[in-house]
Amino acid sequence: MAQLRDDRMNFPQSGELHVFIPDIHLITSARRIEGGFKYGANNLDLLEAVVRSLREFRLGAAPAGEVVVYQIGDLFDLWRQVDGLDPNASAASAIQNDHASLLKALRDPDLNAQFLLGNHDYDLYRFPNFDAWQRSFVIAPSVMLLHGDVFDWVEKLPDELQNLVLFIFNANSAGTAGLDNMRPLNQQSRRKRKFRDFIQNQAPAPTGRWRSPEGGDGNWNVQVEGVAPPEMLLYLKEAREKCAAANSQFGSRLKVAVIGHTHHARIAVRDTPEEFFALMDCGAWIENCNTADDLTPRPNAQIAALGANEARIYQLSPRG
Amino acid sequence: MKYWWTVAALGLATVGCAVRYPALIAVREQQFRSHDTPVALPLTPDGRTEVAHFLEFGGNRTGRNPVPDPRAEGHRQALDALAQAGNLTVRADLASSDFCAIAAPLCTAAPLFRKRLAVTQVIDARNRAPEVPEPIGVCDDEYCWVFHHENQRLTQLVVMRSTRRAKP
Repeated sequence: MAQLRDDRMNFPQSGELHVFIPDIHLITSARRIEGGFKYGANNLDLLEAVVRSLREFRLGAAPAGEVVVYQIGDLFDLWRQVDGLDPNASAASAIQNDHASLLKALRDPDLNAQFLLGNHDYDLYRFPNFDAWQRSFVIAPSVMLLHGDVFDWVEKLPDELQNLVLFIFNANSAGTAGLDNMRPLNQQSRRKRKFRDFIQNQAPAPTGRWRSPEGGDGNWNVQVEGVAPPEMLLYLKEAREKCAAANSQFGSRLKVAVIGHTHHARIAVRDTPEEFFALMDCGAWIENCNTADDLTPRPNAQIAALGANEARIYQLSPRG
Repeated sequence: MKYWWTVAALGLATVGCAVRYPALIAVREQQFRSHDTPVALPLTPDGRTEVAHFLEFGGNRTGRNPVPDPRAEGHRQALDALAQAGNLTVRADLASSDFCAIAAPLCTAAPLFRKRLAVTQVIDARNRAPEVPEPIGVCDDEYCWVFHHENQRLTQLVVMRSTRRAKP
């Protein structure tokens, strides 16, 4: 779907491959009917097969190479699963039980996937069985990984968010006080929406033209600021500004942001003589996308990978 | 007097807005759990005897003397119920903290479990990672019953002496 190879990403490690699985938004089958949701997660059998393959890939690559798999938030959709009437209920457990096979694969200790808390499963931080889940990762030396919902807040809740950089870097500190403090903001961004028809994109997300894995090498479908339409550059500016602020505040060298959240897979860059910055939005496993040469909606089923100064996004579909 | 109402209202508002953390069950030391490997459900006569023996000795596997069980009848009913396959059907896909909403047939046969909280956060430090599916626990006044499940059926059980003991 998209490929960017550029040494200016400053992520030269050739012995590491970082694989990102974006938003899935699981709810139980019963809840989907009860809640009247007109859509659901896409191709879960395929996703499970991918996850199991990644486990084998990871084990096979070790010890010479390291494969790190991330699920980058909104694995569960707690917002759609419950209406908040039973605060002691574990909605995630119910969802997990309903998708036990997939969840067993994703939470297999041999896969050792790293999980981010998204906005729809933010509240998992309160549950001991999800203790290891984080709000962000820095993949040294140059990559910031986060769900991406904080960039909504920048626009919608500017007054409440005095210092996003501090939040991003401090929300993972030991204990849950930081997450408790930010929880009202997350709840506010929900704004009583029911999400019956869609979460992010009612229309298929445009993804440019695709090419087959054998269809060539080199940069493909890279959305360049100043050339690409605005919708293909969503959150590039916000991510770049926040990473620049972090670099100046903490001495980091962030050049790439990896996010999910928007359900719109794309690679966008700012490429000027003074500055290079890349945003990889890994897409989703819910809602639809289309291509520039075929507007037929296709179910989002994307994974992304990063290593050796190269970023790629793949759209997957079941065999046959 | 009106100040008391204000204080009470403020207190209620604070409690209402407070972030709630879920209940959890910690797997106890070997001495205080009925089995190292959970016993299969439905209970066989041998499995039932093992759990009954554990309860008769006050939830102490190395105990030397039987301990009077004020809930003996409730525990007997529970063990009888757990020996019947028909009582083991659950709705593990329900997001409810009411154990009986999840395990309705078991609650019908064993009143001991009624009006109890379903606990999904069962912490077992022996595991490499949290279990999937998460076990479902329910605590009576003296014991926590930790059920493993699969395909909407309870499949295995460990009973542990609760860390919250009723006062003598």
